[in-house]
Amino acid sequence: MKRTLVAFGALILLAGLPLFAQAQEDSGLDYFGGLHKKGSQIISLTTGAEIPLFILPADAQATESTPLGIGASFSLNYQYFIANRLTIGGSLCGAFNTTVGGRTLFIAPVSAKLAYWWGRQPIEYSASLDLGASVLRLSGNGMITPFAKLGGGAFYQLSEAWSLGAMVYGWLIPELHFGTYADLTRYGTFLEISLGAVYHF
Amino acid sequence: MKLNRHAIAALALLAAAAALTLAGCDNTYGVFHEIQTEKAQVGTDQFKNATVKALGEDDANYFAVMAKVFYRAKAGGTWTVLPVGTAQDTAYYCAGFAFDSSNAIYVAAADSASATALKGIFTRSSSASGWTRMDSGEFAGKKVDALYYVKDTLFVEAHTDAESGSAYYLYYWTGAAFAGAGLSSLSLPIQGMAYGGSKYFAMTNSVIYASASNNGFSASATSTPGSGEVLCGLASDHSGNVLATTAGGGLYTWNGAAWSSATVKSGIKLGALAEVPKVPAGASYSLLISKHDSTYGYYEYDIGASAPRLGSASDAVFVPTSSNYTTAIYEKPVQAVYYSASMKTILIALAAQGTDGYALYSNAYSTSWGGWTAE
Repeated sequence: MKRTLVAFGALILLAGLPLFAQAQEDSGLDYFGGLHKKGSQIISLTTGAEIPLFILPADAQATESTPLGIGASFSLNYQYFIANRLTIGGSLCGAFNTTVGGRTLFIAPVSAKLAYWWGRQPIEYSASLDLGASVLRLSGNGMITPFAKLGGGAFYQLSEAWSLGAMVYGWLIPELHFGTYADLTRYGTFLEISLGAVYHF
Repeated sequence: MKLNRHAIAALALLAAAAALTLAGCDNTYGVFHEIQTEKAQVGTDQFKNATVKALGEDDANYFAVMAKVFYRAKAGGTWTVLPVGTAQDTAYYCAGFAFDSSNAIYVAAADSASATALKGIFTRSSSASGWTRMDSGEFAGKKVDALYYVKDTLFVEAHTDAESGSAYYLYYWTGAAFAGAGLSSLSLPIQGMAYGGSKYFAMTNSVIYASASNNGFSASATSTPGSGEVLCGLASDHSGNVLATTAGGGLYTWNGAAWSSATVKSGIKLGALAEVPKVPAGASYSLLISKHDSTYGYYEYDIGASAPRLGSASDAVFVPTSSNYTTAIYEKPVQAVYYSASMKTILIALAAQGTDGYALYSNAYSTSWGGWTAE
C-alpha cells in the first residue's frame, strides 16, 4: 500500500511539471535552442528501477501481498519532432523482476511513442505516452500483451547535444486471455523510475 | 494487382510479426496469475542447492539421505544429522539407507573422508532403540553402494573396482549374517529392487533379475520387459504389481504372471516412481513419475490412462496451484518420492544444485493436498 501511495504521489508530481515549466518559460520561442523544433531528432537511453505496483483483479489463491520484488528496467528510444515540441517515435524496453518463488519475470515492450517537449535552458521536460505490445516471460512460458506507458521526466542540458535527467513512468500491461481461460486475464501495473541520457541531433 | 518489393517486404515483416505473436502466446498460461499465487519457500539451509537421494520414516521420524542421514520428528521440528551406531557417530558418509514397515532403519556408514571404507551397517528397531552393527567382515575389499529393504529382507549391493571394470554383488541378510543372494560379478550396478507377484526383482539399467526367494537370484534368471529398453525406475504398487519405467517414456507392469507395457510419454526419459492415493486413504491412486524432458519434475499418471498429467496441470491432483509445482519442483531432477500413510504426507527428494532452491519438500493432505512446502 505504501509503495502504491508513493507511486501515485510521483505521478501527481509529474503531472504538475507542465505548470511549473510554463511558469519558468518566458517565451520559449527558441524552442530550447532549436532542439525542440520540427525536424529535430532525439535518441535516449534510460536505466532504472522497475517497481511492481499491483496486479488486478486479486487472486483468491494468493497468499503473498507482494509476490514481485523491485527489479530493473532499461530502454532505448528514438523520437522525431513532427511539430515544434511534439514528437513521435518508438521505444524498446526491457525489465526484470524476481518473484517470491525465486523466478524471474521478463518484460520486453516494443511501443510507439508520442511525446511533448518543452523547457528553458538548461532544463528541458518531456511528457510521453507509449502504446505497443510486450513480451511477458516466466519459467519458459509467456504471452504477448498490449502495453501502455505514461509519464515524463526532466533533463539538464550538459552540452548542445546531450542532456541527462530522471524520469517516472507508469506501466500498464493488460494480460488478456480468451475463451475458457478468460479468468486468467490480469492487469499488471509497474512504476519505472529511471535515469536517462538524451542525445539531440 | 502487382506488389512491389517494398510491399512484399512489409507483408513478410507483418507475417513474421504475426507468427511471432502467435508463437509467443499461450492462452492457457496466466503469467500474472502464476505470480499472484506464488508462495515464498523458506526451508532448511542444508537442503538448499543440495541433493537428497533417499527418503524414509520410522515410528516417530522422517529421514532424508544426503551425504549423511538427516531426520526430523514427524510432529515437527528441525532437521538434524542422525547419529549412527553405538558410538553415536555423526562423522560418516551414508553409503546406503533402508527402512522396513516395522519401524526399523538400516544405515551403511562409510568413512566420511574416503566415502568408501565401511564403518559398518547398523540398524535400530525403532526410534527408541539402540543401534546394532549387522556386518562382520562380509564386505572386506568391497565398497557398499546401496541398501534395499524388500518385502522381508535387507539387501546390500557392493562392488569391487579393477582396471578391467567394476564388478557388482548382491547380498541379503540371513538373520545372522550377510550372504550372497545369487548375483555376483555383474558388470552393471543394481539400481532398484522390488517385490511383487511372489517374486523379488533386482534391476540394472538393462536387465531385471527375478527370484522366488531372497537368495535365489541368478544371472541367467531374468525377467526383463521389452527389448533393448533402458530401465530407470522400479517400484511396487498397492496391488502387488511391480512397475518399471524406461528412458523411452514407457511403463512396464508385472502382474504376477507377465509384463505388460504402457506408454506414459513417448520419448521422455522417466525415472523414480511411487504410488500415492489421490485422497488418503482412498482406493484411487496416481503414480508420481520422475521425468526429464526440456525440464525435470514429475508426471502424475493414472495406470491405464492415455496420457500423464504434468505436475503443474490445471487438473493436477497434488498441487493447489501450478505455481506451487513450478517454483518448487519444475527445474529439479526427482530422486525419490515417498508417501507416509500415517501422516498423509508425501516427501519428494530432488537434485537442487544450481537452482537456488531446496532439495526436499513435503506435501500434506488435510481436506485437500496443501502443495509442496520446503523442508
